[in-house]
This record gives sequence, C-alpha cells and structure tokens, in this order.
Amino acid sequence: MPAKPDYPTAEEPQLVDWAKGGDLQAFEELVARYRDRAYARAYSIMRNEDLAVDLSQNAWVKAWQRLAQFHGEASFPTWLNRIVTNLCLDELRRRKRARMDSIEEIEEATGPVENRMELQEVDPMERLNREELRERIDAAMAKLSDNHRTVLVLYEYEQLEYKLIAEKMGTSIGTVMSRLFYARKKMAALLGETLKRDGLIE
Amino acid sequence: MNENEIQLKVQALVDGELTGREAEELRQRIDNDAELQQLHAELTQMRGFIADSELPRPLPESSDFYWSKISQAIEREESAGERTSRSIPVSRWLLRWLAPLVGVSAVVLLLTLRQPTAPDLGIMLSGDHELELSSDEIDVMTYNTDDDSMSIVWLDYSMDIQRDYMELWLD
Repeated sequence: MPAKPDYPTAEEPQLVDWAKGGDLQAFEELVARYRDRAYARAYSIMRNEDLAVDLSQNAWVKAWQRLAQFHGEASFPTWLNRIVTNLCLDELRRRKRARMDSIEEIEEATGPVENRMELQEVDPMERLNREELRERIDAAMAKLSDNHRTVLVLYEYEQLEYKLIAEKMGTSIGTVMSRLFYARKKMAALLGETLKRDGLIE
Repeated sequence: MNENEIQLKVQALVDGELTGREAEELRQRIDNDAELQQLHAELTQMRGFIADSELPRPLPESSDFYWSKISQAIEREESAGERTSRSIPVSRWLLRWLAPLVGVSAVVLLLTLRQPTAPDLGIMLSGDHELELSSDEIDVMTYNTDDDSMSIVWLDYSMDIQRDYMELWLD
C-alpha cells in the first residue's frame, strides 16, 4: 500500500499534479498556502470583505474545475489570482449594469479635474517606512472609483499590459490609458492629503 | 498633439508601453520641456509607490470554514455534473425517438381539434374507392393518376350546405 503523500511538505508543482489527478487533499493544501493571497486580491478590487471572501472561494472552485488548463506557464498563485481578478471584473460589470456611471467617469469625459499632479517630493514619503506607506496607499486605493482602482490593480499588481487590461475591462486602450492616468493623479492627491493631515508635509 | 495626449504618451513611456522611434522622439521632447520632465518624474515616482504595495490580508474567517465552503461547492458542482452527464443519453434518446412522435401526435391532435366532423354530404366511399353521389346539390370531379397512386376529389356543394357545415362547426 503506497504511503500517504506528505501534503504540507510537498512542492507546489507536485501538489498541482496530484490535484489534477483528483486529489482533493492536495488541492486543500494549495488552498491553505494561497487563500490569503486570493482573498487579498479580491479585496484589493472589491473593497468589501464578504464579497472578497465569496469571490475568492468561487475562484478556488473554478480553479479546481479548470486545473487541466493549468500548464505552469505562470506560477499557480499567479494563475489563481487571474481567476480571482476575472471573477471580480465580472462582478463589477454586473453591478455597473445596475447603476449609473461613477462621477469619476463623468469627470474623465468632461476633462481633467486636476491639471497637475499634486504629488509631494520623495523625501517626506521616505519618512514613512514601507509598511506605513503601503497602508496609506491601500487607504487611498479604497477611495478610488471601481474603474480607477481596477485599472491600477490590473496594471500594478497583475502587471498586465494596456492591451490585456483593455480586453479584460472590455474597453479601448485609450480609455485604459486615461483611467490609469487619472487614477494615479487621484492617488497622488489623496496621498498628499494624508501626509499634510499628519503633518509630514506643509 | 494636445496636452492630454502628451500626458498619456509620457505615462506610456514610463510604463514601458512606448518603444522605438516614438519613445526616442518623446524622450527628446521631455529633455527640452521642464513641465514634461516634472510629469515624467511624478509618474515614475507614483508607479514606484503603488507597485508592490498590495497589502497582505488574512482571511476574516477561519480557514476550516473557508475550505469547507469550497469543498462543498466542489462536491455540489461535481454531483450536478454527474447528473447532467447521466441525463445526456436519455435526453438524446428522447430527442431521437420521442420528439418526432410527439410532433406527429401534436399535428394529428391539432387537425382533429380544428376539423369539425364533416357534414354528411351523402357521399359513400365504396371498398374500391368509387364515389357514389346521393345528392343533386353536389358536383364532384375526380382526378386519378396511377403513376403517383393518387386520387384527388373535388367537391362543389351549394351555399345551403356550406351554411349547415358552418353551423355544425360553430356548434
């Protein structure tokens, strides 16, 4: 009788192979390793705990069903996060159909709201440690519209090219460029505000 | 190129989306324009801040509960899939055999319901399919073709009989 696989110590590709063969315990180990990442990505886009939990769980179910399509071109967590992102985009599209376009989109159509980026000098930012800065960036991201936040997540975290972002968001490359630009401007303004409020800049 | 277009081009350069001659021309333009230099620096800085800034986030519920929902969903989907795959041959069988039968039955039923009982026109069909006419009010024309093994019978009856027929149909 073959020995039971040692899941916690198994390498990721081995776990994926076992899971592809229908081994649910191997898949459970993959979930244990990457559940926080999947949830974090869903939260980055949706900014809602319950939705992020639900969507990341749906992504795991889809991943199980589509394991045969995973050939290791990217790492497993990268592949999984693509599924998470796609599900989040579907959810955003579904919600968008039910409500009017955001104020930011109207601003985009009518012209820039801020002519210059109000980004501060690097030095004050460097007074913050990396963790503090990430938290401030995260808080600023939460204040962006769905479209602006999504385009930033796809570009900065998913590291997708403009063309792929346009395909995923169902829009033109020009719109992606515009959204990315105004998202960054908005982020710069929001970060400037928080630094001023905390007395880190004048 | 208007101001907005040039801003987006600078961003594309920062993002590595602009290459070749176009990128080189823009770099030269930036070198000679203080505002564009500032924009380029700002965009580069912002990109540096945001990249890799995704916070690690622990699940807000227990890992066991999280996994149990996933495994239950997988189980549900798989049993639904099995049900579907089991039902495929049955549905194919139904399509192949029952659907035509149901179709023909429906047509027959429809014709039966829509066709009132034919009025007794006094026409008798004998065993050898010869027409016997027992009323002077009806003209009959027949056309036979042995090649197609077909007979067509034309009945022409008076308005009174048509009215009777209609009343019968309305009843």
